[in-house]
Amino acid sequence: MFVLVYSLAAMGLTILAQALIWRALQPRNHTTLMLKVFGWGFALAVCALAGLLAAWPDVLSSFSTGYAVGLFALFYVPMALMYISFHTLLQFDSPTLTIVALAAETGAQGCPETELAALLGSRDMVAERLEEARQGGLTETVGGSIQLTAKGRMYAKIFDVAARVFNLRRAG
Amino acid sequence: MLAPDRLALCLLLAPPACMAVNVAVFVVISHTLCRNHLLALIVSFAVGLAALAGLAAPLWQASPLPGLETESGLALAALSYGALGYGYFTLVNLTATSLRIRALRHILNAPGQSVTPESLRAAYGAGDLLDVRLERLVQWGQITRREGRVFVTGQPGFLLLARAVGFLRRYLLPGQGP
Repeated sequence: MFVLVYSLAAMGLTILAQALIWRALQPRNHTTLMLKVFGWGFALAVCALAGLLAAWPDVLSSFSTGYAVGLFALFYVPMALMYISFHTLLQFDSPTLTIVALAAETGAQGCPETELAALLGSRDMVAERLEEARQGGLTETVGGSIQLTAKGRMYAKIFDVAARVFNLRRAG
Repeated sequence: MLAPDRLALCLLLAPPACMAVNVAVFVVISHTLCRNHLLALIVSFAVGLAALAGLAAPLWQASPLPGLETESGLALAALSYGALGYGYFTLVNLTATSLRIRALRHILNAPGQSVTPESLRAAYGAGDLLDVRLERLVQWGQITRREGRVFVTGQPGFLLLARAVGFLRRYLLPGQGP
């Protein structure tokens, strides 16, 4: 029971710390800082858990320190990645969610597709995404052409393999 | 009877093992039965969860631990499986829907792995991008299209997500976001 309560509390405290840091600093590069916050949160929580279990081994948990830390890590790491990936939804405007929200607002009348096309067409989404990819170090412009960096090539290959394995042919 | 550490080892291995079941089922479904990847993800997640429940019952019966230790360990394993499942959902969904990833794959598969911005724009016009998204939402059962208009269906999934994102954005990213 102790490991479960400790894991939930550690995750809750890290999210609280992240929210406070975001309110204070209003960072632009969310993902890097988020990984740092959760990385430090994980390291501190593991040290504190190991210390507590070493001090009161039979009182707090029936599991040995190594396994308790393993259980904690198995909870914390996927939960942190889940929170970080959800947070990117807040950061970037999703056209898919925009379509659903607009269609819901219009109710039984429905939302004209021309209105959606005007809204989405008013933004050069390809240029926006290319600029984000360039800022993220995934692409570079060489002589007017866009090329992948080593990092971009690695990600592109991972997702290319994933698309074939999962039979997902057409994204966008 | 299991020793406490043997029980902990089983709890540690259960979420990744059930996640492997989830992935395997999804790959099989998406290649054979179903092109709707959202439905395939839901079904494969449920199969992995059933596998976790199937593992949990004998672990719970064989547990030597006092109090709530076993139950809380199983709860931790279930939460871990849920979080792993969400991460996997994100990976599949990004692969299926992200324009940025589509562009990266386009460049990767282009001759010389190099494209001009104009050729990318020509390949992905605004109308095409809208149509791809609308068709995907129809396939997922989130909207219907009639006489040039878009209507939400009774399924609340994406609408709830859109509202949750709007709500959280106001509190977590005040003055930021799109």
